[in-house]
Amino acid sequence: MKISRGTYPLLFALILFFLIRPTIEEFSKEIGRQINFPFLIVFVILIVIGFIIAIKDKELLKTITDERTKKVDRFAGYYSWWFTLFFVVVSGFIADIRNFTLHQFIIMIVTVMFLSMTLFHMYFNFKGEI
Amino acid sequence: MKGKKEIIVATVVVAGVLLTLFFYLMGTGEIELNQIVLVGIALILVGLAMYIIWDKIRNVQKGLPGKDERTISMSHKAGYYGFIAAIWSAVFTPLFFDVSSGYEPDGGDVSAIVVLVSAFVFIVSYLYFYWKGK
Repeated sequence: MKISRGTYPLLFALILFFLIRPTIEEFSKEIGRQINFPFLIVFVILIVIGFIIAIKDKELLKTITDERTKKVDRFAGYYSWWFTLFFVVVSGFIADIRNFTLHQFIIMIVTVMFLSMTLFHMYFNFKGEI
Repeated sequence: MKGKKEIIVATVVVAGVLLTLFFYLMGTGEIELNQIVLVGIALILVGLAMYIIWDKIRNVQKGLPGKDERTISMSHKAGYYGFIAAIWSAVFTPLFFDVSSGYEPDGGDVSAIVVLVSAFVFIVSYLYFYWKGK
């Protein structure tokens, strides 16, 4: 994965607009309609912030990767895997009790997977030495 | 001793899984093919996990650490592949069932498949790195 400081806002924008928003919409159409416009504004703001950071870091066209960034990728993948497993098991039980549809369940776990991966990646990247 | 606690915890988990499988099979009246496949995958996973634990116990008995830099790195790499497998299995499970049998799995089925597939990928890639010496 080639994720840098400037990619985080972009990733959050994509997760927010293409995963979190449809997940909310899947559970409640009414709330989904109401959050459409605010989410669009946040999406645009995050994209702009991402581009500004990428230009500032000179990583707009090419992301610099080294041993440390590869290690951060592995750490983030490992910890989000454990988190995902725990979440999938717990939400599997809840899905059976609350009668979630298959689409609701899948979109929920995929959203949590991507979100946890990005958050762990950000945490390890900003932590410094790992 | 370093790594001894992990070995004890892993042994308890393996025993717990075997006990759960035993009670699950005892509680089922007639065993169907999908149950055999599910239990079969779980047993393969338990077997591979037992091999890893046995190897760690052997190392500890020799006075070597049960956990070192290399095993931590291997776990992280294997966990990363397990995570990728979890994403793809979550996305493709409904599609696979739809194409192969037309049956729509529920939340419990999907979570069981995601856990089993990602755990299988984790253990297989861990053993691959272990035997390859990476």
